[in-house]
Amino acid sequence: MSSVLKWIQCLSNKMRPIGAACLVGMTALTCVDVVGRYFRRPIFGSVELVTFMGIFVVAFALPFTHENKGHIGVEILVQRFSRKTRAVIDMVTELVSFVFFALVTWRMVLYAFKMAESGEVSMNLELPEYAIIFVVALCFVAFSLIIFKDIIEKVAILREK
Amino acid sequence: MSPTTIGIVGILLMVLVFFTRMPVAYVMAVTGFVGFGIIINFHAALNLMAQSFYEVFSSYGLTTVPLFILMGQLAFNCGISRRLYDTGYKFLGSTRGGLAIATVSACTAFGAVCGSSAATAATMATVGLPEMRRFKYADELSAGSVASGGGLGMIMPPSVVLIIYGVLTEQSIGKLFVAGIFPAILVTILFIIAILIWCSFMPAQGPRGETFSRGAKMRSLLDLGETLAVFALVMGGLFWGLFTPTEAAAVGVFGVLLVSSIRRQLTWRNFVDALYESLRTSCMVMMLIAGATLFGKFLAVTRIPFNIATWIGGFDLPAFMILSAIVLVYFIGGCFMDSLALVMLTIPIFFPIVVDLGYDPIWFGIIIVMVTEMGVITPPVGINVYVVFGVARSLPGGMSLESIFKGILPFMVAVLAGIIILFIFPQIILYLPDLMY
Repeated sequence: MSSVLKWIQCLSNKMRPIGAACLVGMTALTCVDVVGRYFRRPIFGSVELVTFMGIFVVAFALPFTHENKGHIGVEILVQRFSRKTRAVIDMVTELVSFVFFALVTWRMVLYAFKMAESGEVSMNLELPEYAIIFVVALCFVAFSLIIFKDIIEKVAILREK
Repeated sequence: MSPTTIGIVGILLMVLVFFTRMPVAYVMAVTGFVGFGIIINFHAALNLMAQSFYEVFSSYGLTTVPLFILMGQLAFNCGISRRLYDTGYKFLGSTRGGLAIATVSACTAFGAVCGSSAATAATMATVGLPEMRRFKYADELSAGSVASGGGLGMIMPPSVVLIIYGVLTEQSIGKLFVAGIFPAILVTILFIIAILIWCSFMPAQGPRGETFSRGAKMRSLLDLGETLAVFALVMGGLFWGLFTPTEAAAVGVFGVLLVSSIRRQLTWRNFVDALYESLRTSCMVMMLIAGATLFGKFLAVTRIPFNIATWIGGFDLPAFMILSAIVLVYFIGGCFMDSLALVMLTIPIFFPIVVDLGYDPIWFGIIIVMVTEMGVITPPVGINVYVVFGVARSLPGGMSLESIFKGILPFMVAVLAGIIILFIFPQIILYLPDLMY
């Protein structure tokens, strides 16, 4: 089991730099486009590319953000409980989250297939949008796995004597 | 059960689940999905869920969020706050309570390049608290000014809450940003007045600091220049319609990078830290929006917003009474919840009512940000207080949470006064955006 958990962790760590690179890419491309426009040479399709990179910034950060407790939650009540009680509550909410995001992943894959069938491409650069949705679906797989890892860790806490 | 009843039960359950510490974004998404499934059917809900996430992630309007967050994080990691504080310190340090005034002013200035109140509070606490400790300022005054000053980072554009408000209500983000400038300055002035009154009653709490020569003061003004230049570039571009908000943010990131490279304050480590922190915050914000979107779709089919509007309309109350009630809801909600989450949760309900009452949407956006600014410093959840508390722990002797909350009180009164002034003189908010294209 622990090697699986390590593998999930490794996956999350590898995804983070890709998101960061996209963030840098968004900034650079937009700046170049603004300057280019000034000299009447805007970059063709820059809005599309920036949007796609923006999608990857969020999608590739999903596992890392969950893991680092980046999301806002109301702590005020739970922090008064013992470690074990907290672990039980967390395990239940993580189970709900896991089921929910596993469903989202499944639907995202179906959505990608649907878009592939329809043959829809982006407006200017004619990039296939289904490929991007597919990558987002893969990110949701990693995200669901990270939540799964959390659940396993809570089980370990509950087993402690 | 009628859709409205299901809606009310759903909302109550959701609020209960919030207290399990489950991320607010996830709770809203799950509630939205389940509620929509019960009222319409689960097949439709399943179709809706993946698309809602993808639509939010792929909105060009929202690409401005990660970029403005990156701009703030870079400013945070590159010592801009320290220089702003030093400028304030050299000019104001020698008056009574001068360091606290310098802190508040530096917070406003830093807010001009950073869109998050917690980041502003954190950076100013790191810079300002040790100095105020050195000059024997009372903990209440020093912590209170840092925590409340942080909230100014949210009103002063760029502001993440304003971006979200703009996207949710389809208002121009450029106009919202420009509208925030005068109110931010107004609150800064009110904070300074609060500090002056405080120190005139209790001079020992904010003793005078060092006096600097005119030359030193003038040299320190140069440090203000770089922040002003970046701010002028971003806001000027938005004001004159040269940039879209996304472009303005990217240019802002470039500006901050340029300034910190020239100053040789940008290390590779700082840069990577800023990137990862921005990634984390952006993902949090976008997931909140996605959750709120799903929840909003559920809310729409429950007809609750419509029913509330009709119900309130039936009372025939004067408009300002209804608005005051809404403000009160935000204030109470802000005590328990993060401002961003609160805005996203409630905008679908309150925004149509307020517009129906004939209030300007831009004006309302700024009022909301002002009220949530009070939320970030009120107990028991005020996030800025905990941020400051976290930084203060590393100081010798630490600081009690109680003294920070005590120190907040005068500033709360100041914000409240600010809100009342903006109620009476909406022109303060609307003057600049009305000048825009």
